[in-house]
Amino acid sequence: MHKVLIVDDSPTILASMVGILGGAGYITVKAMHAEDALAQVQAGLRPALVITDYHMPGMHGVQLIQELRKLTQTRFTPMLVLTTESQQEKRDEARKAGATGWLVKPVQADKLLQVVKQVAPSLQAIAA
Amino acid sequence: MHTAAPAILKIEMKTLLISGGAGCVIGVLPLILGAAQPVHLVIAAASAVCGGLVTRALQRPAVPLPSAVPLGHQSATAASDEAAWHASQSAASRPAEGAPDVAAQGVARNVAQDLADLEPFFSVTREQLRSIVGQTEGAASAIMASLEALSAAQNRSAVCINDTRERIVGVAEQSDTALHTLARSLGTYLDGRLRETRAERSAVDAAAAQMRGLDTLIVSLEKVGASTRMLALNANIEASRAGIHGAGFKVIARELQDLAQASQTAMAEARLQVTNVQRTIGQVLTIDHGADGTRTEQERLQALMTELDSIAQTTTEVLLGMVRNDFSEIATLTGAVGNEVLSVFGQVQFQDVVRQQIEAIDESNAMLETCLDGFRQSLSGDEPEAPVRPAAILESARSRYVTQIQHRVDAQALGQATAHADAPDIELF
Repeated sequence: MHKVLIVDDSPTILASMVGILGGAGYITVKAMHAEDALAQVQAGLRPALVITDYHMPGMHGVQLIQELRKLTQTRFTPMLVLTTESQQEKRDEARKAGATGWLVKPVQADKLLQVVKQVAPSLQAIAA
Repeated sequence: MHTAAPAILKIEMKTLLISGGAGCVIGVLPLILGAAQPVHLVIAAASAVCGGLVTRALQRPAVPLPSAVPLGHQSATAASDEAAWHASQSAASRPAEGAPDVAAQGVARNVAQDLADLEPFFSVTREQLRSIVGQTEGAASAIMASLEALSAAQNRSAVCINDTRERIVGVAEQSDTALHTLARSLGTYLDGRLRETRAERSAVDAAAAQMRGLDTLIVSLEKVGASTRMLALNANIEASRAGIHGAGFKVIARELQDLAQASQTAMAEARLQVTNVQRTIGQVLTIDHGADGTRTEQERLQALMTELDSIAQTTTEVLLGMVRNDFSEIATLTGAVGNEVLSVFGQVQFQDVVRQQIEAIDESNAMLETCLDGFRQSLSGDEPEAPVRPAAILESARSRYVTQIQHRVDAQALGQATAHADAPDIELF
């Protein structure tokens, strides 16, 4: 079953993403920090899409993307950065690390779902 | 912010009093010795006061004040400003030789200037807080609007569902009444048909009983005929015995024998006719029932089936109409509710955005607290343990900006144009 891995240290953002994506029929998996997300993937999780925050305690979002790109199972997985960060340098850093896209918080539900369908067209919703 | 002014005034008054007092003491001695007039006392005091004021003016410290660095050039001049500010603080904190009041005045003046340098930080912080209030108000309004739309959609959905339920109940009741009426009609027909069947059977039974009665009669008549033949035979025998005297009796016997034979033949014919009549009656009853009764039954059943079809068709049409119209509207309203719920899930993200801004202001306030504590130590005559330059507070706050809103509000608070245009909120690489 296709799953979306959501990584953020904010419980509010996690609840928001689960509510939007779950409401649209997608199965979601949560991680409160990058290390936990990386451990889940190394333990066998095969996400069809990764949505990660930038600023997190410990490893930040772009570092997580770099690590996930090294793994065979997530080398080509679409990865979006969802953040409040506004510096162009960090956006460029994410692009170089292999991020698929950059979204600024707060992101509207309909726009997020549009982006998900665009970057992960093979991701299946339960309701579909 | 302006406590240095009253302090300086106190120092000035103190100087006047001390100078005046010294002049009076000097002027009193010649007066006591008689070498001077009282006016000379006044002149001595005034001279002393003037001398004191002149001395004080000449002895004011020339400590350079930290200059306000223009925005956008702080990173380039931060190190040099920091060193100059620390040098000025050190110079102001070291009392000049023989002029502790002058040093205190210098410290106070520096503190006053530093407090004035905090003004940009307060302006920016005030605007950042107003922006946060605006963001929370906007987010709350958006959430309230979504909730109101949710409530309206839910109310319309509830009304639609209630109306549909009532219509379905009405259709069900109508169908139930019609089906009950149909069932009664069918029952009435079946009762009548049963009565007819029973009557026919009674008639058949009666006819059969009558035929059996005829059989019994025929049997009796056959017995009479048999007895008659026996009588004729016996009469013939006796007539033969009687000889010539029985000739007339022999004629009668022969007549009786003929009568018995004819009677037997008639009985056989009657039996055959009765049998034929029975068969005919049965066949006639069957034929009559199959012709008229079947036609009637067919017509009645056809009428009942037609009525049943009508009820089923009406019910189907009404239910299909409900599915097309009412349930379609309910599905639309349900979709609207779902969209509003998704919208609210997205709007609550403002909490994380505002949280980061408040955390940045909280860290700046911690630096402000350290800075003010340094002022307190300076005014107390102590060397600040970890002095924080006022401009550094705003610099530090700016280094922690993450959102475009923070940069924009910062520039607007100081009446400046935004350095960079806002990048798109969504960018796919």
